[in-house]
Amino acid sequence: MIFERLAKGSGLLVKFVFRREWLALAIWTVGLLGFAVAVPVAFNQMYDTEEARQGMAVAMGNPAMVAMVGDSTALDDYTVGAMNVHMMLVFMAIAIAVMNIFFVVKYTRRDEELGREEVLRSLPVGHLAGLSAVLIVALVVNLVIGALIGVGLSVLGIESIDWAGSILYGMGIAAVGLVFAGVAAVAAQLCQTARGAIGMSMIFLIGSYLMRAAGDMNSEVLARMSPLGLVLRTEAAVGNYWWPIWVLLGIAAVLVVKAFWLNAIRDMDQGFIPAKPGRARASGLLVRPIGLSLRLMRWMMIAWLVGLMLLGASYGSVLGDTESFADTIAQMTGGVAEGEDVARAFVSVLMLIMAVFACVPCLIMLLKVRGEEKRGRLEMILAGAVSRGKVIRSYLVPTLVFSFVSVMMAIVGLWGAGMATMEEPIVFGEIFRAVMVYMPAIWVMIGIGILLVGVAPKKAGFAWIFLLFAFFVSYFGGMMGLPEWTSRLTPFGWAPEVMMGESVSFLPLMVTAVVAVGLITVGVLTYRRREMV
Amino acid sequence: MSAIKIKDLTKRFGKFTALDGVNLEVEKGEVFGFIGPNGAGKTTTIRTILGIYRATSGDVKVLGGDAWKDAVEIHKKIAYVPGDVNLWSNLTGGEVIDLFMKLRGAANEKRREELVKRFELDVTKKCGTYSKGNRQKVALVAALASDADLYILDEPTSGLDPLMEQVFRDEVMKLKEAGKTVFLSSHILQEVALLCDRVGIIKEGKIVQVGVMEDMKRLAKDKGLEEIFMKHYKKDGEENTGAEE
Ligand SMILES: Nc1ncnc2c1ncn2[C@@H]1O[C@H](COP(=O)(O)OP(=O)(O)OP(=O)(O)O)[C@@H](O)[C@H]1O
Ligand SMILES: [Mg+2]
Repeated sequence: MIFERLAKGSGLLVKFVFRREWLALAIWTVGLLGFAVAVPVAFNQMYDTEEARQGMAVAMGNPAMVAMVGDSTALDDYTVGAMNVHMMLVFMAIAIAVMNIFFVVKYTRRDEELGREEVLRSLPVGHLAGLSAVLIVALVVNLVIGALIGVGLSVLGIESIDWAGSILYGMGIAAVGLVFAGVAAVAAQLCQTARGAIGMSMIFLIGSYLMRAAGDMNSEVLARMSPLGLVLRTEAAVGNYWWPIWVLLGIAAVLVVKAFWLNAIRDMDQGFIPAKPGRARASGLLVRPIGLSLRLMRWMMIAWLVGLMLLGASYGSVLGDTESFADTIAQMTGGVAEGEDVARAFVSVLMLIMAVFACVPCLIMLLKVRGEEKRGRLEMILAGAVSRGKVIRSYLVPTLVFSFVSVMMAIVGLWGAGMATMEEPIVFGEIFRAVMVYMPAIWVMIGIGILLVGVAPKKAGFAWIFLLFAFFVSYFGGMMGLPEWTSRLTPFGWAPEVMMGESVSFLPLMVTAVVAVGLITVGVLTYRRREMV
Repeated sequence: MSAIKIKDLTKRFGKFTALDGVNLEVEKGEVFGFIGPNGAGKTTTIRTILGIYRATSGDVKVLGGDAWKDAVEIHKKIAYVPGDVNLWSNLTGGEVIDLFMKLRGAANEKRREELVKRFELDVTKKCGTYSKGNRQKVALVAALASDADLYILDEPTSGLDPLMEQVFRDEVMKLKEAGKTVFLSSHILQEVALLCDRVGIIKEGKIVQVGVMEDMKRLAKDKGLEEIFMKHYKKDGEENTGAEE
């Protein structure tokens, strides 16, 4: 029988995939559900008057915001439900798309690449069983997440979010998830490597986002051609249209059929897009340790610089309209005193947050040297005429330079968007000074990272916990009214708040810088003296 | 002068003793075979010779320098093929070969081209798409194309097909004729018997036998060389019962 030949064993494989992946899937589910529920609850509390909501509507209606989160037809009656769908749906859809891309590629092309598929094919298992098992799991998981979100939202008892709206919201998210499961399944057939398949699916996702952004600003047709634009057209909790769901499910079905067909006509380990030949020779830069480390990190560095600039720009785009965000800002800054400029208070907090954010790529870069060691790739470098000092410098120096560049990108984004929206833009020099006082603190974080790499390589990941703590204190400290001394536990708490008129006194900055230099020196020295583990 | 001189080398990982008082000398210009069961300590010995691990106690001299302190200077004259070849999946084989050769010092372009051809390696492919044997070839080409004094090879033929293994043997014979020193760790006894001048056997972190290949072959005569080697692969108890028969 044809089913026997093609899909025999799917059931067993479904269980197997669940067994291997249940934890990750459970974490995604809880995370998505938590976000979907927590945000409308927060909105409901923060914007409890018609006035506050309409103020928000004005702010969210500006073109920069429409480009970022999408368009809304309910700006003149901006209920909590409308607000939630407007601000959250696209992001929830992106999150579930990412989940599906990673999940599907992991169990299709990655397994094939690692030779696991080969073992399965040698068993009495149908040709398409592997792919159908993954897609069955994807179908179940997306529907469960959609249903949970639908039910979770509806039981909140928020007036403007009823049953019909909640279920539609959940199903919209699930439908986008299924579309991207299909995209990833097709990409996994086309590309020969898992990397390639993930890259191709991600490009599709980014393309969908950009198309929606352009479409929401200028062209309805363009927006409807993007899955992310389509899902917004459900107007869940406002108009409640179901047609976009059917269109999305139709697209998903077509993609799945296409993936099965491609899978059936190709050989194992083959793709349809031949991996294009790379360079036969290394460029002159690559053959030095620092060239190698830069080559390995270049896309990650570029992505972070762009990301930080967009982050800065998205904060900057609301600077012209701080009045309507006054409540949110007051929460973030822990209250704005009478007579203080709301915008300046906001920028002051932003400087801190961006400095903390800029530490993330810096730590990734620094800990990469440990990752290379763990994966056994440092052995061949050290077997060359390369000293340990040179190895650690080839990661440390780029990280130090990058820390400055990434902070600059963030404030350029902030300042640029602020220029466009504010009536009296803040002078660049002032923002520059306000963020530069955090540089020594960033170097302390880098110092902690490198110290761990040198002294306790197996525990180097602990640097993240400290950064998480710093993030928590600086982001939520004001909101939750944590005592002042908690911020002094992180290096960031010692810098003056220039935007709030605090004068720059050099002593605390010098001390922070000296601590940073000390940590870095000790880290490098111990690294030079220790063996590879 | 000897190329490698190891005196009373002990290496511990925490409480576990991987090498226990190893003494070993490799003369300049000889091909030295290094054999022993899985987990005996071959790779650990080699990594200590390369200054990637630091000796817990004992003294390791390589090409006249200290293996740990003078690592950078020494490595200019050493070519190495690791036991586990881990490469960057997004670099091509050609890029990695160039990288390894340049990190060592000057590169011999002519030899590189010749070896890429002989090993039939497609250097434009990303390492992520290479098979095990092809990853091995990348490390082999990079090592054999270097003008080194000492070649340290840790199971260099694992994953190679028989034809490629033959190419490898030819290349080692060339090194031998050119008077280079080769330190060859291997599980393929036939390969060791064919290529090596002397052989050292390590077991549970101790050197249990070092011998000249010619002598051992003469001794083995009708029993065959493999049997002499093989007895060291068995547990101590088994060896005794074997002797009684
Ligand atoms: N970094 C390490 N930490 C702890 N134990 C180690 C480490 N490296 C090696 N060992 C242990 O030391 C012993 C010797 O290992 P080694 O890799 O030197 O063996 P080998 O002779 O190369 O074996 P094989 O033939 O399998 O390659 C093994 O028991 C191994 O588990
Ligand atoms: Mg080994």
